[in-house]
Amino acid sequence: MSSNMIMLKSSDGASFEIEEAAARKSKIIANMIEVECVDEDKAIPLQNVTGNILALVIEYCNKHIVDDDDDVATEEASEEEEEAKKKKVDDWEAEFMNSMSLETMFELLLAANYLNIKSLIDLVCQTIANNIKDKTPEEVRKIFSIENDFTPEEEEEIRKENAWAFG
Amino acid sequence: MKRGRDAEDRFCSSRSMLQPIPLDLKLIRLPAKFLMKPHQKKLLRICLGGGEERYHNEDNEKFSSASIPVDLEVEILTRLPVKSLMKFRCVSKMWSSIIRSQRFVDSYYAMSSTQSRFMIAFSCAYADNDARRLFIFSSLYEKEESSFLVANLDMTIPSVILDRYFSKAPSVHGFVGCPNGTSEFIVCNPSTRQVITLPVKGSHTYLGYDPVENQFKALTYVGNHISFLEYEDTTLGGKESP
Repeated sequence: MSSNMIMLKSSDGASFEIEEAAARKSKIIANMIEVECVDEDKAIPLQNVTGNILALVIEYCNKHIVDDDDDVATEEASEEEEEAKKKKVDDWEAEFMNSMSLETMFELLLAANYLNIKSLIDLVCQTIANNIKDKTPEEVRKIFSIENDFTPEEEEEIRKENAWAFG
Repeated sequence: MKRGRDAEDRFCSSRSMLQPIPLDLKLIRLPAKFLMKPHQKKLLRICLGGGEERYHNEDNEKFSSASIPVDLEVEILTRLPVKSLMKFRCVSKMWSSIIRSQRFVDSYYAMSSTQSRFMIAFSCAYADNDARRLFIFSSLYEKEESSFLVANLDMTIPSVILDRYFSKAPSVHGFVGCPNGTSEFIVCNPSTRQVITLPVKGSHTYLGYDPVENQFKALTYVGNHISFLEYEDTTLGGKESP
């Protein structure tokens, strides 16, 4: 293993090799690297992330570390180039999220939160928001496993107050 | 008379909601498991615990739900349109109080302020009494080079018209204030469709926002005097950028 590669181990025992630069997208792993608690030949165990989700996280990190490098290299890039590049990233992200079930999104969100990858949290939250914005309160309760603790009268009151939003 | 009392009621309920709910994101992040309701704990364990077990929602075969910490729920809510937020207030008491909390409104406003928005209010000055309406339209700027906008009608306020000589209804921090006759001042939030009516002493009344105190103020010019009406904003739900 070359010195700038790190091993990550998922909760179900799968190992992944990832560039240190990509792994640093995770604040948690970056901190571990800073305080030198990463042994060169030992994998970092991630007890809260399963292999299939970790694979997604790594795909995201690899994609975005390349972009960050580009930013440094082409500091004087023209506006159009900047825009084209941003569009490319946006397209990739849309494609990346598009293939995912809502359930996977929630698992990915938990993993991104646990690993502290801000931009991935933003991306997943926005995608979930787009996904649920036209759903009914009943559907949303189901999705978030939330119990309705309003009495029918209280719920009716809120519905009446915001009748326009239910149209 | 009835309207006056309504306004006062809303006014009071606004005040009582001013106490922010204790929703400290940093505090919540650590003891997330303690915030779970008992029936949610199992779900969380399954979510975090990995592949052996999968939770299947019996009501909906296709969909397996996840239970996530409150701070992440807030992150998702912050990215919803105001209309969805108003609708999701009846999901649960927790969601309702999150959506109405000052902290949430502030972070929502900070997020939506990054987008420019165009807002216009107008009325027909010569309309008959029963045809009086104040219309408020808004539109997001799509692209700078585009020379026209498609505006959506946000709300219509019946029986209010702008005085054709004096009154202007500019947008202030996402709110629109406009005098109605000489004794009332209407303040509305086009995002949430909420309207309150304030009693004033003249039609030369203007809405202002004080970012230091986070208060909206209405100022009335009465002859040689200037009188202030203060009220604290906040529970009006989502604000949006002017």
